[in-house]
Amino acid sequence: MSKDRVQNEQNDQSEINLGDLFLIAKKYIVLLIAVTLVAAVLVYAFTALFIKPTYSASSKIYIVASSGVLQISDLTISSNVAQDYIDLINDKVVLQAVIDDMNLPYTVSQLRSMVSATNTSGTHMLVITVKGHDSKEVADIANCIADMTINTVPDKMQVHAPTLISGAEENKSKIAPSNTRNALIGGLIALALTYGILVLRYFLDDSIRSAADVERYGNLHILGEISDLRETSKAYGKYGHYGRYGHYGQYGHYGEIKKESGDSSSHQGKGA
Amino acid sequence: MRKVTFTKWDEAGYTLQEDVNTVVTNIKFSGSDIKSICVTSSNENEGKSFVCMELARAFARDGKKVILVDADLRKSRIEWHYGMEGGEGLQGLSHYLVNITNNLDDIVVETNITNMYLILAGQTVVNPPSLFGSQIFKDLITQLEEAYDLVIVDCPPICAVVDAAVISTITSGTIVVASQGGSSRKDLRYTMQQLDNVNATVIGAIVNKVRRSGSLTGYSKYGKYGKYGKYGRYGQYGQYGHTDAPNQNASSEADKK
Repeated sequence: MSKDRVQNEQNDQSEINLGDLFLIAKKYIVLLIAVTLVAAVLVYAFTALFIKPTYSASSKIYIVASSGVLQISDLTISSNVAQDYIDLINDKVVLQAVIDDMNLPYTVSQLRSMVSATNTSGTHMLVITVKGHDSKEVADIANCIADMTINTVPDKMQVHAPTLISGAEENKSKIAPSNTRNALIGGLIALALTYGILVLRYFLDDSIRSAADVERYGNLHILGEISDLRETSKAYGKYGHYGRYGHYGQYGHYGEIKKESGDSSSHQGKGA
Repeated sequence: MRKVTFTKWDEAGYTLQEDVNTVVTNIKFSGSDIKSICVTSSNENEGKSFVCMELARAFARDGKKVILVDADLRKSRIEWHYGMEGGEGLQGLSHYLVNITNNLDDIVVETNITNMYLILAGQTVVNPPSLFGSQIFKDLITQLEEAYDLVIVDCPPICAVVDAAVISTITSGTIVVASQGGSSRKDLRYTMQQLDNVNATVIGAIVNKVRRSGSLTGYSKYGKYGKYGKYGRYGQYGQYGHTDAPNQNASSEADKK
């Protein structure tokens, strides 16, 4: 008999019942849903109210052939050449010029972080994209950069100037942050955390939770179960006769807390 | 013999009666030679005294002459919990064990529940285990076993004090009361170890304060309709159970009563 108990002792350390994991979720489903929703709403509100929206605008320029006469080699523009242009756009030369021209409150590196120039390989197009918190400003900057590039290229790179294909237009709809996406992420994180805590609590809980536990950990034959009176009888409910706040309850008229009765001798005293 | 009346003890509700009846039946089926039962638990507040009182009442209702002995000499709650009228100046178990009185009539009282008798704890005592190991106590239990159909001894929790282990060596059976959430697995193991060490005859466990909402499934193997419950497959009225279901065989119902 005691050998069985030693066995059980080792067992309950290592057992994590998958079924229990599901049942925990099922039991606390209301809490889990509530937490997710509340977190999502809070994150949505926070994002909408406190996070500055980011806008984007793009201008497009065309990289022209190296000399007036079209040559075979010009037809296939290597990515290196496009990279040159991209480097130029990111260079202090262009960016400083833009800052000076527009009187921007940014440093070169700050502006550089807002700008990205890209070329789709196989094309001669260079797309200049600017991201920032002001929709008008980013459009203006994109256009200014395009202009500055067009002006700088012939001088610095000794080739024909690129041409402007399309100027940037102000786009009033933000590209970030996404309120819904953040809300979703917030909700999911809250859900995962809550569930994790519930699972941890359940498995760390060492108390006897059922007759099955008693049978298992005590190796005992179960003679029967007596339901909690608080569930089955109003008299033992919280405010009932025997309940916590009731007449004979813990806080009640004759209750344990109210009456100083820790010493049972006060009752047995009559017996002397 | 003096008589006392419980002033705060209402009739048991239907569910409670059913639950207790199941326990009573299972105890009966554990062996007909059980004349005295030591009832203990791991910790305090598991409802041990409550279970003792309800068992005593149920057996008494069954026609058995039951005597309930309150052996929790350090912390007796029966008078306080159930209210007692007529108990003024009454001596209890502790008085008998220290030989202040050696007359059983001084400590045994009739109660307002037919067939149910009682021995109160008496004055609070400092070192009960030695008292329970004494010949006086052993003789007392023997005498009570002869005079009554069943002796129920309400003992203190084992994790608190060792009294119950001592008492369990004297009674013919021991029952452990475990309440949902009232003790840990460690506590229960300790309790069983203590009982094992003295070679107590453990009849089984009564699980108290069972809340359906507390468990994960809200459905227990031992619940009324669970596998081992009263109406379940292996339960009293089940397919493999002790008796036939009432509507199938009316005479066995009558026998049971």
